[in-house]
Amino acid sequence: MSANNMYEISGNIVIPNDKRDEFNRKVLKLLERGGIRKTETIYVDEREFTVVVPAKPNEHGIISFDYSIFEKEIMPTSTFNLNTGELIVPQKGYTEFAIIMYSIMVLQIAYSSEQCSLIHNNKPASAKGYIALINTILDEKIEYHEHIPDSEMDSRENEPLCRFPLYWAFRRDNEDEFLEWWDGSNLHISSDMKHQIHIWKTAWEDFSKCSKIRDDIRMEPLMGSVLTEMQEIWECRFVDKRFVDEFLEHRDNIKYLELLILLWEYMQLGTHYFPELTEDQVKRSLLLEIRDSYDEIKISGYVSLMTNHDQRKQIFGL
Amino acid sequence: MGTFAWYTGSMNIPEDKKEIFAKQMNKILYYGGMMNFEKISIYGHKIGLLEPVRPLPGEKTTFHFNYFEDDSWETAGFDSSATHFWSGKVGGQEFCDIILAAYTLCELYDDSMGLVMLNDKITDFGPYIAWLNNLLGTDFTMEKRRNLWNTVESYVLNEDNDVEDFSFSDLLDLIPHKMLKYAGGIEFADLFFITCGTGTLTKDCILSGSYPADILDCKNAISDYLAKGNVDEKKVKLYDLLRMDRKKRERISDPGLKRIAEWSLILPARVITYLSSEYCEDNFWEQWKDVYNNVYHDEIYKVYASEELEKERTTSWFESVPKLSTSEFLRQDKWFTFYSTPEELEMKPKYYISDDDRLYWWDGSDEVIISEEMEKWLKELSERHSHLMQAADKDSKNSYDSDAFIKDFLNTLIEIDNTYKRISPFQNMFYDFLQNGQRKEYRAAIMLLRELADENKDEGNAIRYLKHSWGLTSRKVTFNPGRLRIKRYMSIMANLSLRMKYFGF
Repeated sequence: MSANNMYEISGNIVIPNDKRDEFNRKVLKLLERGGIRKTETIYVDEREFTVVVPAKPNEHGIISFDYSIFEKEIMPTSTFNLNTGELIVPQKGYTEFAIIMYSIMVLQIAYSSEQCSLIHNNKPASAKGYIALINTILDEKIEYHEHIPDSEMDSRENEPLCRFPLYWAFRRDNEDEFLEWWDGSNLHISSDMKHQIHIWKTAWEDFSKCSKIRDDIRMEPLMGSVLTEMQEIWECRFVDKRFVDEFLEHRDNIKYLELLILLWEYMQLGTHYFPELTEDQVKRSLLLEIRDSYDEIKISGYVSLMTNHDQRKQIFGL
Repeated sequence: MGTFAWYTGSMNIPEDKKEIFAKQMNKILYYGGMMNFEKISIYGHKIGLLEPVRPLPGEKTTFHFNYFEDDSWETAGFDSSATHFWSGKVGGQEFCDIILAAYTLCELYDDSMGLVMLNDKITDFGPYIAWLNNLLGTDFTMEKRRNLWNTVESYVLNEDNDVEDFSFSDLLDLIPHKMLKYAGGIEFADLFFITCGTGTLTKDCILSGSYPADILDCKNAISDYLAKGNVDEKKVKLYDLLRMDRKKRERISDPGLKRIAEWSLILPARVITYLSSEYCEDNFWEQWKDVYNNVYHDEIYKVYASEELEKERTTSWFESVPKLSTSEFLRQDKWFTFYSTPEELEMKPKYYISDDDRLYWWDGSDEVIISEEMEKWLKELSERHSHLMQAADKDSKNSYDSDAFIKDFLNTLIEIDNTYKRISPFQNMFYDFLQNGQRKEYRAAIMLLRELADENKDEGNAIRYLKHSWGLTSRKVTFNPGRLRIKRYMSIMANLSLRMKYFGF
């Protein structure tokens, strides 16, 4: 699936009142499951960092968002109005952010009481792929009537649910970047990631056996260092604010500290190969050359596991 | 414009290694699919026959076509008696890969310094050595590039290489990727400081007693010295110091120079040179070029790495590079390999080379492995061939007309080439068939070829999307399954042992 197609809607989107709640619920789910978030600035250890929060409505019923955790680019702020069903997106881009925006647009067409069509290059376009994607994300079938003259495809009402997982749309081979939604069995996780989780689990068990005193390490400076390197060295997706908040709230809990140390130590692997340079020089100029580029996904995956409390409990017992 | 592969060294192959070198080079070119075309004209038809590169010892050879890429580039060649290899434009696919492998062999055997290059970029020779070890049964390691300083110095200071600037990125290209973590050390650090500067050395990020700490202290000593008085006069004195032996440097009494002299007892002369070049905003290599032949080499290094790391660094360079199969080595998956695939072919699987495309080189050894699927196909073809032989048998009851046979054979080949594009017979296969038309096995094989050509027309029609440039067309078009079946059949017919095994002739 490519979002280079620059779809538009022809016609007037009017969401009927009796369908508004249902429609809004689905839009919120598309945003959430599609990885769409709002960036925020926080301060940790007197350093400024960008984190993300869910796209939630304000007191006026307006949802603002500007980031896809899959695309990892800050976009100009877009809005969705729960009262009117209006979506305003100044810049969709061409990839993961755009795919979710076009999905919402197709949902608007599906719910509109006034007839609308999806347009590409001034011609009616099929929403076949997007319907399948929406159906899969929502896990329910939406009704959509295509109005393409001379097309073999007409009403899709009686067609069976067609699965099109989001990771296919995002051209991924697996769902390693979806760990925050993992229930232990519902995702297609790579064997590499599974093996890494096993390594972390084993390392965590070793931590527990050691009962090492960690007087020299404090939560907030360590969190600051982790966030700095995730952003500046590894160029990871911005972390969920809940991760930072929870760990800082439990700053005096040794178990939380050790969970963060586990991540930090994983990020440092390989730095010992160049003692003739400073640590900073190694990290900024060499670390990504000697590590696997996929380690960036693993680092973000670890943070996702930290916010996925069920799986965190399952793997780390916390 | 265009991509050129080349070698910076002088290809000095030791006398006692010339024979083996030539043999190995010929094997690279042969198994790498390098070929020429014999152009013939027969019954008014012009045909190109594939002629794999397989020179006799001492011969010169030239070639321009790669069988796996199905494309031609500028003529390249190997003179086995002079042990000299050369090339022109090489493209960016299989032809290029084999040429780089050939230059890698040159680098490995050359008793002087040299580097494999692609335009102005140093090539990581690791993957090429991996393939050579597989193909040649050798145990080459990457130790030729282990002495970083000597390798970079000889590369930069050789005027023939026309190196304008040597960057950190060039250093990362030079060091084989898999060896990078073992490439650390003082030489690596010095090259880092030369290419990136010492600006990131600040007191708060440095561990006491570390190499960066020593470099920073030496840097401060040099800048303190050069800051006072006439900097040019000071530079002269500094370079005088570099020419002194250890005893003289130990006895230096000038207070400003003394601190630097103390550092010169444990740091190489190049350190003092790059730190003073940096201070004076001079180009290090320009300065080094003038002094490097006449500087001290009697410093006694400190060891900054742990014993364990030192051991790892030493042993890893001397490990033989793990083997890489020909199909893995030649696998093409660059951004343009499947670029702009027509919508109709989007859902088709991507084409990657496998041993199914190397049947011409099958010899019963594990050089080329016949896959399960290919085994099935060969057996199926063999059965069909047997049935067709019965039909051919009936024909032979009338008198055999060799003229008609040859014309039919030629027409079949020409039609196939027109329909599927870039399908040429192997030279040996062509002459073999030409001379044996009276035998039913051969006539049946041509009938089978015609049937295959007919059956695969629909899939083969994907070739209609061929753009002006073969190499820039998606491989889902140029290496469509229909075309591949015909190409593979032709290679089976050309491999006499394989043909005998499955078809009995």
